[in-house]
Amino acid sequence: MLVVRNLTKRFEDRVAVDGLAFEVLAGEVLGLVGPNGAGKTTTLRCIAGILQPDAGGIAIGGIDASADPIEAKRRLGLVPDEPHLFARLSVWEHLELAARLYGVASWEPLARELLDELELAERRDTLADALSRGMRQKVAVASALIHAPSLLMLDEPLVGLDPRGIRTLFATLRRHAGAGRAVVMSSHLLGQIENHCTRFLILRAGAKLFHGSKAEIAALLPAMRHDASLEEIFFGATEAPARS
Amino acid sequence: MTHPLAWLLWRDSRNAVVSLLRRLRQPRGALALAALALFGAAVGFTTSTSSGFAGSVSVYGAPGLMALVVLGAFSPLGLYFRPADVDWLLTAPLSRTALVVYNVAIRSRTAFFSGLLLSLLPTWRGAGWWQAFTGYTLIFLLLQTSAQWLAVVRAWLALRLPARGRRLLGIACTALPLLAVASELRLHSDLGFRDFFRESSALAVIGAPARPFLATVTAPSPLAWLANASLSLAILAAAVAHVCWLPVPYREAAVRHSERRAQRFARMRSSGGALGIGGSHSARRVPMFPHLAGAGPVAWRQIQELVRNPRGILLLLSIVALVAAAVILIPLLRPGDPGLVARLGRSGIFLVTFLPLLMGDNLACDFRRDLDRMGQLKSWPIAPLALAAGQIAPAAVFATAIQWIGIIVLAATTSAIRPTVTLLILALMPVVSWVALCIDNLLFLWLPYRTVPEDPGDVAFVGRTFATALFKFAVLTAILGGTLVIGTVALQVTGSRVAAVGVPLFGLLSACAGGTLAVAHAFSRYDVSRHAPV
Repeated sequence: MLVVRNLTKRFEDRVAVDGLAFEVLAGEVLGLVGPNGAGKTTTLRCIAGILQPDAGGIAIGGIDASADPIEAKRRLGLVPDEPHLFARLSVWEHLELAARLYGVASWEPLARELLDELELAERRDTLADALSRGMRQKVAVASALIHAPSLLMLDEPLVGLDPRGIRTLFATLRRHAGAGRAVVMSSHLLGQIENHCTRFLILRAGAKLFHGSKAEIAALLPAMRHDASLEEIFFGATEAPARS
Repeated sequence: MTHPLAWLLWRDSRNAVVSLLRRLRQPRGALALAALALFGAAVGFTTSTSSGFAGSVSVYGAPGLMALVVLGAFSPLGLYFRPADVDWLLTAPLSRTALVVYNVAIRSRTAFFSGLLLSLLPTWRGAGWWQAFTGYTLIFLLLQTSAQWLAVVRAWLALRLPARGRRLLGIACTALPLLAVASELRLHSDLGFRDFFRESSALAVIGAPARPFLATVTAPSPLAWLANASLSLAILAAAVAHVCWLPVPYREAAVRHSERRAQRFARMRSSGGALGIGGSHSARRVPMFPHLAGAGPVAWRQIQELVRNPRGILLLLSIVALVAAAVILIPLLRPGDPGLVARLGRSGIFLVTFLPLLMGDNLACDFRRDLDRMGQLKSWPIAPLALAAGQIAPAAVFATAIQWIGIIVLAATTSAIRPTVTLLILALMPVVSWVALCIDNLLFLWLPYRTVPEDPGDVAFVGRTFATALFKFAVLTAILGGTLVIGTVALQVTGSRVAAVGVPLFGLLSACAGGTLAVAHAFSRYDVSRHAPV
């Protein structure tokens, strides 16, 4: 569903992403983890077409993002780290905007379903500037799902959500992936995501350290138990020399 | 409304109007509406058009407007998209042309509003209201579109030239026209200032792109208006087409620019304005003040911040210096008018007295700077009255110091007013400044607002700032006028000069005390959960 080859992005003299290559398959939920400045957000932004890579290629749902960026974007949904909404649009109007942007004809039934699922139905006509951060996050998620994207990417989606919101979000993501689509999610909350992601991509300083399931990564790390937690794996990985 | 961006623009504008109308039905909104109505009524009394305006515009307008266009290279607008636009539109399957046109369209709203405001001012109107309105709207669009065009050209150059080459190119582009004008100035040294602007071929070339825009404002006939407005629109369309066409990573440039600007705006909005952020990182430390029921440490904190970042004070001081320089230099250019020095001196003293008060946002080292810290202020074990006094005192001290400097310099150099009157004004200034700052803070606590717009195209902010300034000016004028009347009556009744000064001074001191009490009361009633603006 997503193929990233030799992705490189520089900001002046600093290399933010360094020759990154990985794939995300249909039905997979990939957890993108790494310390601050590892290049997680830059990677997601390059895939989303916000930043132009200096080298490498990206294909979303088989569409080359550099050759046909508009078509690639149609297959993608992005939930950014800070949910910026249009202050003067209501929750429902945000869903309508997303549907119009992605050319979804009959969007209302799915919109109602998403509002129910994410517990936003009662806030349907509330303007965005009257919503809490958690609510805004849910609106961003619902809007990213309205066109049923082949690839859904979420940058730090758990920040600001209450425990019920987190549970609801994971249920939504599981359903989305279960329908044969792919999810990529970056997060620092390792304990929260470890049971919901099928594989993990650990980054450090813009480069890939490890890519695989928890057990696969643990097996690559010396002296790591096979049932180690993601947090143990993370520290073991980020403090060990790089390998893939 | 089939295109999603057209739909977004329509829905966003419609909801903004609905929300504005809803707010106008509330007491605060009604107050703002009353201020605007007052302004409208004032304009209605002076609907005449200015005959000298068209002449001045035709002489100075074009080079001046082009200078503003060049300054647009440093404008915060440039490639700015609102944070929501970045998240929603730059990731969506939209073409670059659609994004550019949307960005221009969203700024057209601001241009429309600003054009409407300027066209209502009678002194800024040429042939008539319609020409002024369309002309000013087109001029604002030119400034906004050219800022975007310059930003894209800079991004394009950044891909092709190293930083040093770009700097040299920038210097050359600025120096060449200046050199051309300077050489012409030497050739025509016999011409007056206005005549030189009229005759200079270099200035004619420099100002050529701006002429149709200005000619729209002053068009004498419908046909001239149509021709100039069409030409202006064609220039704007060409600039937009060039922005769409130049081979640059538009999305990336827009995102980087917008995020930098958005972060800066966010910092400014929680720090009382552009002058409230940054500053030196030096450890210059003001000695702690006595406790004074808590007012001391509160005032110390504000002064400490102001000392480490004195840009607001420096700005006000430079404005006072400019006024003083103009008052001192203009009579030297016109030696034949003996009364000019005194007239200008009095106007200058009036300006340096009022400007620091009307531009109080630059000294916002009071409640206005603490908008995002109101909860913390409320948690301090300090009585509201002491807190209010501690918050207002630093700004009042600095405003008074700036006024004193201006008044002393102007009174000494122009002898426009008698020394006793000068002393009287100097003595009144601390009290007047304190009252003015009480008004500022009261308005702020009653109708909390940020001194920085939500984004560069925040139309509501312009209206709010305007209404607030108008209200403040009206109240201040009423207080000072009332003081003058009381003083005159006291003089008439008692025949004593001491009473003529003492009675109004007592009145002003009472206004100070009452104002501080009112600010303290307003602070007590301020509800962080309900009143903090977005």
